[in-house]
Order: sequence, then C-alpha cells, then structure tokens
Amino acid sequence: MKKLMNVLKSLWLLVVVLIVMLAAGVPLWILIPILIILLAVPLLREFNPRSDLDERQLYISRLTSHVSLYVMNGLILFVLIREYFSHNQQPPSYWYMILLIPLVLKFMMSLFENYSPVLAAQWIGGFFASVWLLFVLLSHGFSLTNLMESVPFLLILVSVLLIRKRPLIAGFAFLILAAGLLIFFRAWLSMDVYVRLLMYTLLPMPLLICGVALIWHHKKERKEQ
Amino acid sequence: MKNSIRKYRFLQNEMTQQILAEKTGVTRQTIIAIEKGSFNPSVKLALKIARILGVSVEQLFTLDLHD
Repeated sequence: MKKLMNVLKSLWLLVVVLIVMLAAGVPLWILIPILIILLAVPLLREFNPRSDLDERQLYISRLTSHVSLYVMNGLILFVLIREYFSHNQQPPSYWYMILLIPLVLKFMMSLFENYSPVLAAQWIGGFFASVWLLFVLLSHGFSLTNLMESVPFLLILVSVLLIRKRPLIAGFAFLILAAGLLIFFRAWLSMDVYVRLLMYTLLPMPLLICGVALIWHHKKERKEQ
Repeated sequence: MKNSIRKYRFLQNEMTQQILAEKTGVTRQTIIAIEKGSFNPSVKLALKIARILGVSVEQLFTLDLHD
C-alpha cells in the first residue's frame, strides 16, 4: 500500500509537470478542469483522518511545505522586483494577493495553534486596530474625514478591551465588524477582484475568525463549568 | 538524545527493524531515523516501542549532557 502511494505521488507530479508543459497547446476548457482535479487530490489527503503517513513522514511533509512556502515567497519577490525595474511601474495587483494571502493565513493559524483564542484574538484585534489607525492617519492626517474613518478603529479597540472579561460580546462585536467591512468593501469601494480578495483577507476575515473563535471559546468554557 | 533501541531489539530474539516498524505502525525508515538519533519520536510512539521491546521508556531513551 505504501509503495503504491509513493508510485501514485510520483505519477501525480509527472502528470502536473506534463500538463504545465503542454498548457499552451491545450484548450482552456480541458486544461482548467484537469488542473483543478490534479491540484485537489493532495488536499483530499489532508482531510483523511486515517493518514497513510507516520509521524516522521508527517513532519517531513510539513517541513517541506514550510520551505516551499518561503521559496514561493522568494520567487514572488523576485518577480515583483524584476517587474518593477523593467517596466518602472507597480506590478499587477494579483502579485500582492498571491504574496500576502498565504502569509496572513500562516500568521493567524500559527497564533491560534500556539495560544489561547483569547490571546490570539487580542493580538489580531490589536494589530488590525493599529493598522487601521495608521492607514487613516497616513491618508488623511488629523481632519474631520479622519475622525469619521477612525470609527472602525475605535470599535475594534473597544472589542479588544472587552475580550478578557466579555468574550461573547467581543466575539459578536468582531462578527458585526467583519460583516460591516464586507458590506463596505462590496458596496462602496470599486476594486479589482484581486485587490478585493486581498482586502477581504486582510480585514474582515481575521475579524470573522476571531469572532467565531471567541464565541466557540465562551461556549466551551460554559460547558466545562 | 541517545537510545538503546538497537540493543533491546537484539535482546528480543534479534527483532528486525521491519518487524518493529510493522508492530508500531510506522515505516522502517522511521525506525532507522530514531535509532540513528536523527528523529525524536512522540511520547506515544516511544511508549509503543518500549511496550513492544518489553522495557521502560527511560531504559530506551536517555538525555545527552547538552540536551
């Protein structure tokens, strides 16, 4: 069984490389479904509770994924710098999306895996409140517009202060803020789809995750009592 | 961390790495890596190996001076 898995893994990589090499000559309606199926196969394995890997193999698998992420980041940075210097203009926005979304996800997952939901939500909330304030100050300085745009910052700050004593209220406040930001980005800002995805990942998604984690944490604590 | 898996394998009727791997549910490469000291097993795997070899975990694994 294990030998068969190794053969299948090699075969998978071979097919992926082959498809990428032939990509230019294959019609898109064939290429895209094949790529989706091929790239989804390793993901299915991650959801299998009875993994065929032992703990050392899992460790190796995670280590190689970790290294691959940084290699990918290095490559993206290389492309960004090269594009910038060769065309003397900002590279297309999707490069920033590809670079930042995995890093934000990694950062948040590491926080929640390492610390309690309360501490992780405090850090994430504090971080995003500071980013929001900095963004508003840098774009408008001290003005009336600034005061108006600082409202989300104040709401995040109040929610962060509430986390320890009232995790349920803070959790719901985070969810409302996330929903508000989602509506704001969707309805009022006309952005490119890649920038929108990046903005969703940078602002509403962390707040949404914090909100769900805090409500879950509160529920679990009450059950234990 | 030092280990005496090899010694206790031989005391157990010269148990091969393959048999130990099959009994613990890991690959032979993992047993080789643990014996060489290049991979530290989890507590669960260490307990499994100790039970199969009929010794305690402390007899199997000992800390180095610099650990």
